[in-house]
Amino acid sequence: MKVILNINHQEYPLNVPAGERLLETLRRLGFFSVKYGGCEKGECGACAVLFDEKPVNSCTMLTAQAEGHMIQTVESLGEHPKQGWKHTEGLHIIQQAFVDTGAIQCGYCTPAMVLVAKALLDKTPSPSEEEVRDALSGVLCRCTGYLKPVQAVMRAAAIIRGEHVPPIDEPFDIGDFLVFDAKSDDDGTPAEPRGGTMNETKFFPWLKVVEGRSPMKTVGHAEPKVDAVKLVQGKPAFTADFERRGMLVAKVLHSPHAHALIKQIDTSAAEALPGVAAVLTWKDLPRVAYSTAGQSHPIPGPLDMFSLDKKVRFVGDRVAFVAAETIEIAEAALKLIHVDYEILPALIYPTQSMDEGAPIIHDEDEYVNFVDSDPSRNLAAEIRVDIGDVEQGFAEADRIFEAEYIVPKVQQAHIEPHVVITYWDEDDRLVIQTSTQVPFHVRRQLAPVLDLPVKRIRVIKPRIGGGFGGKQEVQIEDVAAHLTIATGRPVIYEMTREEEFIASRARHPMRIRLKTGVKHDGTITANEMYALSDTGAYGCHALTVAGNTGHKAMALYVGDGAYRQQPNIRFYSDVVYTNTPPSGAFRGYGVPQGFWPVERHMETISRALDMDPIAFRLKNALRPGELHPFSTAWSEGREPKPEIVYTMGLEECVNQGRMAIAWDHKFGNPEWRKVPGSEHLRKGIGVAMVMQGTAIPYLDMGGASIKMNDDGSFNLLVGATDLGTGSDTVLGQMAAETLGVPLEDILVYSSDTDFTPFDKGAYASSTTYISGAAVCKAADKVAEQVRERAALMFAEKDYQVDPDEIILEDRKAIAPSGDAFSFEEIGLHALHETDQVQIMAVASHVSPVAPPPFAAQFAEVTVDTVSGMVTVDKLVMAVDGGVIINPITASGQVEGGMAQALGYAVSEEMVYDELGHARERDLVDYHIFRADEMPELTTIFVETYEHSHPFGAKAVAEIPLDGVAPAVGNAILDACGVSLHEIPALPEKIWKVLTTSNEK
Amino acid sequence: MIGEYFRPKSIEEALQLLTETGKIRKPLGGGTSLSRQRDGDFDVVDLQTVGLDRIGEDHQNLIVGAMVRLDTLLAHPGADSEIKHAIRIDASENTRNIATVGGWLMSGDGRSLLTTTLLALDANLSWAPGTEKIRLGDWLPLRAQNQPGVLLTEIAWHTGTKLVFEYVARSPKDRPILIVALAQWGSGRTRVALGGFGSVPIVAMDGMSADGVDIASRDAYFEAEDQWASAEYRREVAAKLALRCAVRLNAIKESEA
Repeated sequence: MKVILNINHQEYPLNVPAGERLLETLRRLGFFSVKYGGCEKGECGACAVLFDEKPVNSCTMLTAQAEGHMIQTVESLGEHPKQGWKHTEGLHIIQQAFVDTGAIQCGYCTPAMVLVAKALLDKTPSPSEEEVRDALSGVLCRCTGYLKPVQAVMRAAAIIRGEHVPPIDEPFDIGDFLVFDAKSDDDGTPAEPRGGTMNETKFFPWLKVVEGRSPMKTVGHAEPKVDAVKLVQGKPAFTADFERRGMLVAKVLHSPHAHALIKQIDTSAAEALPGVAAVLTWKDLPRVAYSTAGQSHPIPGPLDMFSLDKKVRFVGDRVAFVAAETIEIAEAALKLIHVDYEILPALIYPTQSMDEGAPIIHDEDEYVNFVDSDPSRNLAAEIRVDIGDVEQGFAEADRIFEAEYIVPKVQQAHIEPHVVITYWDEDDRLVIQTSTQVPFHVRRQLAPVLDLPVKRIRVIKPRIGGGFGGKQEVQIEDVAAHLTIATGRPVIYEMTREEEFIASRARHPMRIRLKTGVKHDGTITANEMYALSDTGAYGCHALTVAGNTGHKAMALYVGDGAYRQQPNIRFYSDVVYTNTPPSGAFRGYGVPQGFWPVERHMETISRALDMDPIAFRLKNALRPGELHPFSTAWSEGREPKPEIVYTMGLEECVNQGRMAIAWDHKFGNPEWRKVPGSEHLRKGIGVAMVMQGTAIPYLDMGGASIKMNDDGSFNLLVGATDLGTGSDTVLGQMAAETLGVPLEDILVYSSDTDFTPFDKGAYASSTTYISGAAVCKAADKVAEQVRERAALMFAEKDYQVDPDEIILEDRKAIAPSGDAFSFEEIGLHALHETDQVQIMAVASHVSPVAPPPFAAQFAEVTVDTVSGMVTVDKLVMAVDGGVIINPITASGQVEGGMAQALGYAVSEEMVYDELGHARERDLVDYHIFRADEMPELTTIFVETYEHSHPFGAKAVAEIPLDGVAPAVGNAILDACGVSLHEIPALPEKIWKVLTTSNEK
Repeated sequence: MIGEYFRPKSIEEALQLLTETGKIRKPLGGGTSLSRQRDGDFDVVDLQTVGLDRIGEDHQNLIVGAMVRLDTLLAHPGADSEIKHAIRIDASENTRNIATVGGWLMSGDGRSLLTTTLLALDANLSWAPGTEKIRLGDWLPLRAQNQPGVLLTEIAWHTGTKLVFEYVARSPKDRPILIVALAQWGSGRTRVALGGFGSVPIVAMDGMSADGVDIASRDAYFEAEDQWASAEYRREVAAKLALRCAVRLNAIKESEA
């Protein structure tokens, strides 16, 4: 049908199908700021546009509905302020505020948020925080925790009103110690429910600067992200924004059965459908066993997956691939594939996986074991770690505490779905353009699957719309690649939100048993954990996720006195197969699973001993200078090597956090727990202490390459993958600090396996630490060359200077005399004038240590003691992540991490029925928090100086996932006496305990 | 799959399109539900220009056109604050700006707060052609089978009726697993609607006072079990929330006295 759309004040006469949705039309027209979140019900809001000046989701309205209305996208707002000779107005005030405040992480939802903000501020120039949050309620963000987007809108509103707003990067006076006591003005008054009072126009996290750190110009400052300007404009930066001529659309036929053999499969009708280019089944592909876990060689897990197999192992498993001219044809073709299944008994519950007579999920001959995997027992991995003499420790205990805890399967829920484009280039090399955290692993791991040598594959990682571990998986690249090989044509495969739930990866659910021995004085004498982990149908990350559950969560409490010198710790785990969707990597990587039981258990013990829960924990916690107890026992399936923990700010984190949340006023205060006028409500406060890792020692390697340009700027090429975390920015900051230039002179590019150095990818909280050290090494080498070149130039002027005496600062090489050459002069001299040479260097880094970050997490909740409904009012996290390279991006990591962890605590879970069908298939049933229901978030950084990193950094990316659930659980206990052993903390679970205790 | 799109200018034209013999045509409200339907072939009749997007008041009744968008109702001074609260939980800003009240009632399930609160208020639905009106409570159970008319045109409810609701969810803006909405008229008539379960909310009680709201609620959700909550939980908590609603309502009345 013919329609005329008015988009961004221009008319577009179009011929569209009557059923076409506005999202599809806009993207076809090239409005790539309008993003596809894979959803069908408009729940994510990434596709929002302004419709007669109001935000609406373009995925849930027909294009035809929009005729006669004004459609506005972010493309109509500001643009880059410098477009050569062309004058531009620059970014819109709202866009600039998003850039300045750090409101942009992955940037996938940013255009939608900017439009929502514009609509709000156009009608409400002075909005309250509640109004801002309400306006943002339609745009889900999995990265930020919404705090910085809210602040961005408040800041933009103030600027539009003509008010003065302070610079973001002040008053951060490096070298000073901030006085924390002054800010603890919370007298315990209950928080306003569902709506805050914030009206700040700037935000800088509370930061206790490490003593003796010298002032720096770029590192430690709130630099705007290097990619923020393009993201806030909605530029075509993500995989699905790229177009190839003649590109086919891929779709996957998923299994309706949890466990079945494909007896027959008839694709003839599908192949005969006009517009279908290829249909592939297991008969068409080479049978290569591989793992989708994106990890270094050799993969520390079983090879148990095939691109397509004659057996399906979960509802959602792959049955066939289709490539067609359009998505509609591809979907129609799927319906024409006739499959005759022989249904096998399904194994849904992990507790039954190793029972005698249980169905065997992996009986294929090609299965490749890793260490102790045993498919004949449905065992993907087995871990047995004994440190010290655990039985002796129990024998010496005055009391033994035992309990079982359960953590659910949860989804990463990145707003950009998995998406890949593949094509043959002009040299007949296969190009894989994909939203991945691990481009180099994709190349290496897919080569045998595709029967191509590594050198004939090129992987390009564009911008990533969030990953959180979900894209540390070589999960869909083979689908498009096989279809490109079959058809010779470019292919795009983009998962729907339902596919993300039924056919992707998730956090391993676990059933964990804890046994702890303690003396009457609170000394832990032995600690034992057994974790039964459910890896689902395939063993991706089976061993290493479970290993980290013990390696981190069981390492924090070593005991006190003699036990501190020789802790007694046992960690056993069985990781079993079931006929459910595979588990995999999810931010935190096994550690959130471990800290739920450990921190709930510690709370139980401290209360039973009538000890202060904080004092009890600190008495037994690891201390600086002590051996990481697991470092001699386990290392991701590789040889362990002893490691001392030198930097540890846990105690100071506790001190700062307890002040920020007014712990001493609230904890144990029955009057504070009451909510005046609401007898059924009780408030509670809880704490958890956590540690994580920073990279994998002796394994994780990152590389960096830096070259100098004619104008004195530098290209920094890294294989590290910024999935929204801001790693491109912090890597650039470290290079800029080393080279003496502002960040804008560092042009960061990542990543392309043809052009950027190897990097293991974005996982294990390793980028700032490992890739950052590589960047610093490369920058040091380049800096040395710049000094030598400057010395040469001084010599040409008869001024002999030792290069080592030259200082690089403010884009200049400055001699002791004060004479200087600009970097532009140096670049021109090196490239064009004398003894020409490209100033450049490559470096890589691997670390012998993995210095853990530590944190204290506090939570405040209100429990409805009638219904069991929990409202989390406040989350405060004090983190020792070493030196903070960029306080804004780092605090964004903590806020976003706490928001994800909040869902883990109270709302998120993936549930299956007895036939293995998923209950959650969209972001309606799988509820992630909206902007208008978030608790108050506070981030505090307590710096330590980690000497194994050039700038003293450790990590902050994953640790925010660890402590929220147990802190919330402990707060629920404090509020109403309910000791939950299972998350999420659903109302009915709490109600059951309350009802039972009332009956007693 | 949607075959043809129509945008009639009047109700009459819409009725003509919707009743054309041999055609499967569905009225299109905001499109948030219908735009994503892929099963079967049908046409859509977009009602955005037929004049059903007005809110009026008549004899203490709020009369809301079926095409009134949720955000318009939210902004209307005559709408009860609890109705507004329900809308804010039910729908995010982006959805409120396009979804219509009529469409919400047509497509919402038992977990909708707006539908549950309107059910408690004993809202009336007007249909075209003709002047037939039907109570929301009579229509909802039969919604999937047949309609009293071709086109839902208006929803009306008494504005003098006091309304409170309580709900339980995993988080403040999650879809509720239990809703108790209690409406009370000046005469003392008290009506309790329950939601958070099933394909539609239900009426638990319609009596002359608030006495027995707890028992009625418990009985009404006696078997309300699904994958989100047990029947035991729903019935026991519904009873207590109904009492809480009654207390809140009394407090409101006392504060106004």
